[in-house]
Amino acid sequence: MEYLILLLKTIFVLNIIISLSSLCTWFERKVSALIQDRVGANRAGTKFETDNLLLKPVLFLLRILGILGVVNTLFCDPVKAIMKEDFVPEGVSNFMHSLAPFAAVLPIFLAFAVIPFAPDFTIAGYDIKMQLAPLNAGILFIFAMGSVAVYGITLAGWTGNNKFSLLGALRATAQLISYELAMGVCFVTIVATYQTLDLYEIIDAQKDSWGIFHPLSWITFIVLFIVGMAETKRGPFDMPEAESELVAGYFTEYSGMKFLLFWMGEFAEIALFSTLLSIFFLGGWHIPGVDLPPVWWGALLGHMILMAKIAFFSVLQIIIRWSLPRFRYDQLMDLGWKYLLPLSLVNLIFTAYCILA
Amino acid sequence: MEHIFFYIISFVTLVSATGVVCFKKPINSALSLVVAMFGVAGLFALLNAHFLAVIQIAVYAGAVVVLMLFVIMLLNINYKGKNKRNIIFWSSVILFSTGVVLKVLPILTMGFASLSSKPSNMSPIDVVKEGYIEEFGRLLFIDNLFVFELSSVLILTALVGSVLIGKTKYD
Repeated sequence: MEYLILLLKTIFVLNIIISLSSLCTWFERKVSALIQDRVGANRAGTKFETDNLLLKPVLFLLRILGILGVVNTLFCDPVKAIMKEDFVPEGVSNFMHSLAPFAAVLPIFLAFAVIPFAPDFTIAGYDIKMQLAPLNAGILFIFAMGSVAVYGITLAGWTGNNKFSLLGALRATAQLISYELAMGVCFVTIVATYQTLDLYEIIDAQKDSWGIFHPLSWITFIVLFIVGMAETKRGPFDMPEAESELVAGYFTEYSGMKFLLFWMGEFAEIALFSTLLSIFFLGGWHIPGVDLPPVWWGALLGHMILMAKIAFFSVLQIIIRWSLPRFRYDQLMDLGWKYLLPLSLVNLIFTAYCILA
Repeated sequence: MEHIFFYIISFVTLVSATGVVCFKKPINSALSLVVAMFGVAGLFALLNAHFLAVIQIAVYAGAVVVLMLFVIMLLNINYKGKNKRNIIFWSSVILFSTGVVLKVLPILTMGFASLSSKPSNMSPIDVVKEGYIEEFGRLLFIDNLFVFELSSVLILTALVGSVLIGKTKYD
């Protein structure tokens, strides 16, 4: 029975990752269309006609989804990607070339294992904790997985066997390593503020008031938000895949499903950072003044509250990505090393002083 | 259950550690080193030392080997003909590894015996459940502060020394 519960939880978390990243893809297409004053994907699935009365409501639903662009992004795009030819450049180890997308995606999926997605609840005598791996060093695990994610990018750039891929990979790795420092200091600040490494305890500490209402956490929030956008290599920080200079950066030589894996990993990373921000600063599943009962519908409600916060942050990131122009490379490095890192260090010292004093 | 995981993880760690030495391409060696690091982290996690496991991944797999990988990729080492595997290489590998196995085998069996029996006194494994990180931090930053600072000075010296060596070479 225990293993069955674990299996169900694994399926649940995997489902969350997949649905969050596909939801982000849909947001991306529609929000970008909205910002650029286009209509966006609205054709696929709208042209079917039938005389069968039973099929009519199904087709009506399909038409609505098609007009919204859901059919295009969630069905047509993956099918197209799967049907495409899998291209491997000449003189490259096939194994390494195929390893890269998995090495890029796996750490991000693994990081979701320590995230609690709903409050604890009891069902049929079983106490269920909606967290796959109850580590007592949850934040550190996410940080470690973020630093391991570099391998996929480096390998992809190297096995691309051309200059654009390698340059993209170098830029991406330099960017990740630079912004990881500021991220680490921010995580330390958060640990110092809540006095724990456990994500559950961090959420429960915000039962009465969200972390963002605390005057000390403002700088941490802003720095972590910027760093998160840089870590996902998106928004104004998309130097590694600058399409006007580097074709597509480190995944230039990838096609089909492998390309889609990179794409999915990127969106999963957006979802991961949104989850972290909503856990650290928006109180996870807590709304001040609302007490959720420890039964299944309370957990479901809490889960939906957390998902709404994640969706809010994801849309915010996508809006920023489509409205700001790209940084120059020196500006990117300046922002990371000269502004964000000193700011987060000063913030850490100030926070520690305020806690101890 | 834990025994099965122990065997699987140890097997993966040992095979990839052998791969680090035996692969001809340096990039394959570096990647198998990553796998070996993950295996060691898995062994730490089996001992309930989650914090050590995570630090192992973050520091070694996430930072050190990335730098190695970078050096390998950018230097474009021509491995053809350089890393010839002759009889001396293989015989020294076999000799050395037999010695290590003979040395490590008693320790391994001892460790395995202690896995099945519960430790009686307060060992580091016992501390894990309640505030392992607090205990770790107290040991490192209060009880053994002097040694800790000394090792950081040592690392700083190594850093300055390597910069100095690199400077005189190209100046």
